Amino acid sequence: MNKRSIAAPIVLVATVLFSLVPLVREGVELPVAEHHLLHAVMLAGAALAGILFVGSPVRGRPGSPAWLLAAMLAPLPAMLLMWPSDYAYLETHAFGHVVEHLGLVGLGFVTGYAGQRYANGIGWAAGLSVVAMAALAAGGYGVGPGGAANVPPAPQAAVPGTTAAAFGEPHVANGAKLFGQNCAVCHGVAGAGGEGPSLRGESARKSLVLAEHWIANPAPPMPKLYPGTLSAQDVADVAGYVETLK
Amino acid sequence: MSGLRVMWTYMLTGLAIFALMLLAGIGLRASQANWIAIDPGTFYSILSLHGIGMIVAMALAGLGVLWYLVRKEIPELDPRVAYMAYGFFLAGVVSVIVSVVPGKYGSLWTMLYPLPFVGAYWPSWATGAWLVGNALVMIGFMLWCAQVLGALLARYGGIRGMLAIDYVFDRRAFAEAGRTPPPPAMFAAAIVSFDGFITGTVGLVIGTALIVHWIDPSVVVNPLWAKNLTYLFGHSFANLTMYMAVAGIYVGLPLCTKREYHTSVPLAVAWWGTLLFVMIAYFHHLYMDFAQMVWMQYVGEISSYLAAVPVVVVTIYGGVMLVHRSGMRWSLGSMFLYAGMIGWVVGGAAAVLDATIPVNVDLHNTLWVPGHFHTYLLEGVLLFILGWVFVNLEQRAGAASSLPVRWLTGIGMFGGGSLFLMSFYLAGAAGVPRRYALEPAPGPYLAGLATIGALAFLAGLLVCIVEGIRLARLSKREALT
Amino acid sequence: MGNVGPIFWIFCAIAVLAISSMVLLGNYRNREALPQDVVTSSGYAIRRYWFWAVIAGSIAAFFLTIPSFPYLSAAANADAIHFPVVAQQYGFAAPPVVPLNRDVIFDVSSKDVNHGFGIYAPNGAMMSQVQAMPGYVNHLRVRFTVPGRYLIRCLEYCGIAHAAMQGGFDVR
Repeated sequence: MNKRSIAAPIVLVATVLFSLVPLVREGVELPVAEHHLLHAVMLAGAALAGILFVGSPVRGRPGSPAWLLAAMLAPLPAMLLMWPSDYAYLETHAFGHVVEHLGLVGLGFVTGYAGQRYANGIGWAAGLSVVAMAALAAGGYGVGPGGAANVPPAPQAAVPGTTAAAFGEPHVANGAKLFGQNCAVCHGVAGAGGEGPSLRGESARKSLVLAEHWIANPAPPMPKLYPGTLSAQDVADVAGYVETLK
Repeated sequence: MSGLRVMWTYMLTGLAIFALMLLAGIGLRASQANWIAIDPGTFYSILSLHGIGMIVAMALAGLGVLWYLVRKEIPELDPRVAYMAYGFFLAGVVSVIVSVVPGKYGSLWTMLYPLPFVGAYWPSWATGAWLVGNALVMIGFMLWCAQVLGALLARYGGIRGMLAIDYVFDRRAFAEAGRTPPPPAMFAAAIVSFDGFITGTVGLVIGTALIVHWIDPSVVVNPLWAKNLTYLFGHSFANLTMYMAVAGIYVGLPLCTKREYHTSVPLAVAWWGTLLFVMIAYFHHLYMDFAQMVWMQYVGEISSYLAAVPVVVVTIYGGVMLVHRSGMRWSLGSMFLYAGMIGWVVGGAAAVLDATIPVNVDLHNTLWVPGHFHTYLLEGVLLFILGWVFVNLEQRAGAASSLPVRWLTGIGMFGGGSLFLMSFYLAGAAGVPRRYALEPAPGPYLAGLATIGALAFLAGLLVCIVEGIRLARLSKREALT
Repeated sequence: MGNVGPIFWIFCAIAVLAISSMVLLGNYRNREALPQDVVTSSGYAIRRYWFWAVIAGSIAAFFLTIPSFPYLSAAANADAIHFPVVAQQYGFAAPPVVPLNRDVIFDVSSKDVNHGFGIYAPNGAMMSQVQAMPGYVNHLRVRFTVPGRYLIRCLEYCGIAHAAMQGGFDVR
């Protein structure tokens, strides 16, 4: 009996006991980040136990590729078990919570054990990897930005002069060309629709003046292309074209 | 023997994907030149495929070369694992292709959460196919890294031996114990597999988070965290392709120059630097995110600078020393290997300038960025890979390419390539943003020049492919006689 | 080309220097081959200086660039005027007029995905930029010395109309 073969079951038992904590502390609400970190500790213990159980391999050749596959794949269901929107539910259902924990322990154990069975050192690499994944999760997986979400109110942009005279006489042919270049991407060819609404029959909904006003001052998500990409005359031309769509 | 088979499987798959992505890329530049019309939705779908396709293509090719070289040192390396990893790569590639064609996924390869979930003009299943495809590629990559890492640890005696720590700190005792350090190419394998393992881990974290959000949108994801992980994974993965391909220099140049290249203390220490700086340089992608902790920005700049030191002081300097006054015959193989080093330096200069924060204020997300990484990839990584391919073909065929073939290839791939790249740099300096389906002036004019350059590059590449087939046929005949 | 013109020429100079020196060093034509140890003995000696020059250059460049970092201290925020800017698919809500010759701080955020707030001067050159991220506010300090119409372009891919996403303001 060497130190390793004594340590292995001790670490495993300690980890399993740790994973049973929800049974005695039901209903405790933890911030998701903290919860992820506790799971990382659980995974660390389980992976370490797995590594210790393999002992000191004395061999020249690596183990079967199946061990490697197991070690590389096991962390993925572990991440899925750490599904953040489930945490609130689990915290009030101790039994399910413990089952989830035991799942993590099992997967962590497999990661460390299978890794070491494949090649000496890979258990450590895979074990560190799964722990790192759980720890990194605390930074943003199910965790939003802190108190910094004070988005300032959108300033009211001054509306430039939008009388019909400001835009000039529409030239429909040029408008059709500009429409194809700038508008069809969302409104579809000939205004058939796409990500943006169909513009067929738009003349019944908007007069020329209203169409020009809308193009010059759209509501998001429609981009505001005037006065950057489109000149005032361009706005008139496109509006004129849109008015012809049936 | 099966080491060669793994190498050619990986390399030819990578080069085939590269060729298809090259055609897609020429289409994109031609569209930006307003020479052909591609609607923005399709443009961004093709751009998404082009981005990830090129990186995976270069990675596959580089991983193939490295695997072969590791197996020469460590015969126990099991080809079954290499093929298993290859299978995951291929499954990932298929899934990604399906997400773009017919899925029309268009959120680009370094997408920033909340993309691709907001404003998507493609069906949700395409998002899932893209994300799952990326995850499969990551798993394949981690399998490859774990196998090679395990083999290196076993062969050289743990991390200490793999990184030649004892060799560096007490050379005399080391030599007296009759030990030898790992050869230079094994340092490349060590850094790629070690940093690659970390890169894959990070990629799987962000990948899983996004897949979970895709399934369950009530799961919140922090956008700044997501961006950090996306670039820690993305920058490192792309950067590592260069360090995969550099193994071709370490073995190919000594073959061509008939000189020797040994592990030295500077080489080992240089790779230690790379091991660290590759991973922490990624902060330079977040310079314009002022919400980042400021110390990260400082670390980003200094490590981006220091990452260049091992390259210019050891690898490139050593490569030039090998070639200088060596009497080496210029063939396509030696030409590509040497030109790749030049491309690496030029791309590095552009990168280091952009990695300077006050400069980045003007160049961030302009076409300068694709300028520098296309230099690295087209005139660095690709050339190292092609150089390695041709050195191998030339050795097996016992023949080299004629002067006209070398000139045609060179004019196309270096001349045309330079025109293609200069267009990016000029446009970036003029403030033309990147990832614009429709570019403001002078974007389209420069895109036209780029398209011409890219077509010339393609012509040079075709000459080189034909020549490669000729050499391959010759070596088959050699083997039979 | 605005502020970045000199950078472009520096890059060209480095590129030309690197390409020509590496081509010259690698070209053995008309020169006799030398044994490897002759090349390496002088090569290693030169490399020592090259190494220290590169390290010193890197560290010097790092310290020289720090004063020009755009990251603001709280003190710098004190006497500048603040303007909120909110980006969203596919436009910018920005102030219509910004004062000339005064320190201005844009408080930039986003309503949906990541965008980039890129300011282009009336002559078309890029002036400055900062990311617009949902859930965070980034503070960009600028001082406008040239009056006129400034264009805002989106500098972070944000969706299908990314290239069309624009805004603008007058400086006077």
